Amino acid sequence: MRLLKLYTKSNLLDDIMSLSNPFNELKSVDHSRSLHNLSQWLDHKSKTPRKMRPLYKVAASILITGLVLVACSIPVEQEQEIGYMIKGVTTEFSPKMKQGLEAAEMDMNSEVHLNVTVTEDTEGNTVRNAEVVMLLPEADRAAAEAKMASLQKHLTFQKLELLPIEEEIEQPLYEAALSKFNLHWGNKVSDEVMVAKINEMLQKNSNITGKAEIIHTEDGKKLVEIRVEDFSGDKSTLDFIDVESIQEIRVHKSKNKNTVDIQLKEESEIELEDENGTAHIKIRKIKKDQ
Amino acid sequence: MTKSEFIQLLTPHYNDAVNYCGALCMGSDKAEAEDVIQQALLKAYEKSDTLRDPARFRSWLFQIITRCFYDSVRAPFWKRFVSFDPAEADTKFVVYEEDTFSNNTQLLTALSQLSEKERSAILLFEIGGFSIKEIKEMQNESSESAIKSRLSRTRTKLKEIMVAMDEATPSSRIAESNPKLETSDLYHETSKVIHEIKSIG
Repeated sequence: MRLLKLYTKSNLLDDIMSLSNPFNELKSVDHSRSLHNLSQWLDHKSKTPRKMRPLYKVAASILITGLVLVACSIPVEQEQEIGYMIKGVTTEFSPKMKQGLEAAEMDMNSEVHLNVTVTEDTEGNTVRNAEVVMLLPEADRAAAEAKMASLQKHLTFQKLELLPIEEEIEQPLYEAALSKFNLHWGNKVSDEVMVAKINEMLQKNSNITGKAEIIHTEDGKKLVEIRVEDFSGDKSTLDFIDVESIQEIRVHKSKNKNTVDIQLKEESEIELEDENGTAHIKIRKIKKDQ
Repeated sequence: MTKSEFIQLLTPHYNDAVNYCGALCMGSDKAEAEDVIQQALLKAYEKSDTLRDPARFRSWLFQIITRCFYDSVRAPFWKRFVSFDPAEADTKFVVYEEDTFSNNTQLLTALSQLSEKERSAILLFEIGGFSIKEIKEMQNESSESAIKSRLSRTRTKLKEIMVAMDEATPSSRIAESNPKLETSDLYHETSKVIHEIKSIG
């Protein structure tokens, strides 16, 4: 152990080997010959700045553009919200539960699912719980929250939560970034996703307030129906990609009292233009005296 | 600053600067070292007007060389996009010959195995002749003790590498006709003893 201490305290290598000799040798290498050419070289170099080869410039531009295009068309997976689900646990049963759900304007036949569980507590008493699941397809968050608040008002819940119903969709990065919607997906994604996507587009990409609906006709046609509730500006444009895959787009005006000043004549006023695969729905404001 | 004034300032420091750059670029090829010194000299000439105190020319020049070296280590890819000017061939400026450092291969090989910062610190001290304080400023360190410990660590590392290189070539040592012990032999033996002590520990 003493030897080890001695080793750590003094560096024996340092005492014996000196690095000054090899460094002095290195220092003594003479380069004065090259110094004579320095003046001429400096003249030449300072006049001609280093430039990128034109060929490399072009290659780099093409490469970068290609990379950007490839990156933009890479399919990305997105979670698309197609509705909301309210999930709660209550100990209240009929008739109180029925009254509460009716008071909250819930459709007992299609929207509400009940699941009753019977458990035993530590003292051996039977505990009955009802798990209530309410599905609100096509609802936006605000509507779902309003519904939840209404339920909370009319029924006592041990636990109540609002959960989004999501469906996974795949679309190119640039379409996702621009909130564009490819109608061609009509064959790939469910109607719920399609409706949610169009509604999202109406909200983000246009000044139209409205709701979309998918209608399956008897002759097997699939129709996208957009019910326009309101719109601002003289002209509203909505961009779709690949309109050919959809047979028909109808736009209707709903009975919205707020739209008194806006008159849509008839469907003839709604134009569907196809410009390089992009459909524009044009809605023009018509004056009352016209 | 005119070109002649710049060369006049450069001349006393030129040899050390070129040797410093050559040793700093050890681990890369000769062309790399050539490129770094050329870039550094050109940069120094172009920016010579910004030098306020000519007395600080040496440390300023060494700092430029160090920065150019770090740049060359960091971004070798982009250098491929920089053209070689054919007219350059007419104006020959070759700093490093093929056999420039042939007498110091052991030290240079050992240097190439150090990190860039360690290499730069030891060379600034040994070849540049800068003080600890100056090296601290050049390497943007907060304390002189950091430089001191870096230098001490680097020296030990260098020696260990050089001993290991000696050990790796025993045949050349046996072949030596002169049987008398030299400093390196003594050093060699001492290092062996130290290794044994280490293994006992």
